[in-house]
Amino acid sequence: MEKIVRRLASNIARSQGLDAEREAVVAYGLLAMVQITVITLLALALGFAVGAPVEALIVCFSVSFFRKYSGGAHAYDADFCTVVSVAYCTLAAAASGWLSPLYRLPAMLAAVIMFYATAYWVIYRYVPVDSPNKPIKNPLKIKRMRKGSFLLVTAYLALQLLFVFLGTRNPLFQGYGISLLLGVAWQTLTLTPIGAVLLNKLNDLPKFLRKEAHT
Amino acid sequence: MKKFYGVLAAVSTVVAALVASSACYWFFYQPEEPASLRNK
Repeated sequence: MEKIVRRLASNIARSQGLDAEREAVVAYGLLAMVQITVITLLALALGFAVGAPVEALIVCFSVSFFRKYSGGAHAYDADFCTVVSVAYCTLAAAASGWLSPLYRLPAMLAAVIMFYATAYWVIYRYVPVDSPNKPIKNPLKIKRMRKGSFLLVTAYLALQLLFVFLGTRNPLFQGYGISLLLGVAWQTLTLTPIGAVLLNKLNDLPKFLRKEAHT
Repeated sequence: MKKFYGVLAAVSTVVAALVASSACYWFFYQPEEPASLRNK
């Protein structure tokens, strides 16, 4: 995906007479647009396939908005990122459907308290989690990211409690609540050292599979 | 085609500036950020 986008950016730069830096900026923005569109559409399509399209979108947007403020562990290439992201959105959406029949209000409230308390602690302890391709060293930016993460998770918590309340009247909202909780839980995990190790192991999977296919 | 590329370049530049203000790209992949967008 990245190769195609860079080739397109190169064509745009040639046609518009842009220098190398402007071409890099166009490629950066173009890749963001393509990746956002592809991940969202695939999550929606596979969400339909498992009978939970809204849940898949809730997971997709809750993770990605949280990541914009908090950062987190990264994949080595855009295609693998797309596969992992779409797979998680679909699995979490399907899981919210499987878990809905087991839904009990006290258990859900206990899970909400546990996951959100962990999320707040992880934000306080680790956010922002930067990457070598986008280091964050500016103390003002670090403060802004941390504050943004706290505010966003507080907004998620308000939405979560609304889903819990509505879930007592309409079972549809129970699934929405579970998928939001799974989105917050996954993103919280990717902010921790354990999440980084897990994603690094996943990063090695394509290389391992390619090696196995050749032997 | 030149006009289309011009629009695409403008939209991509706006998106790049919007994405640059965040800690992360979208999901798990973060390409190298162009020097002119960096605000470490």
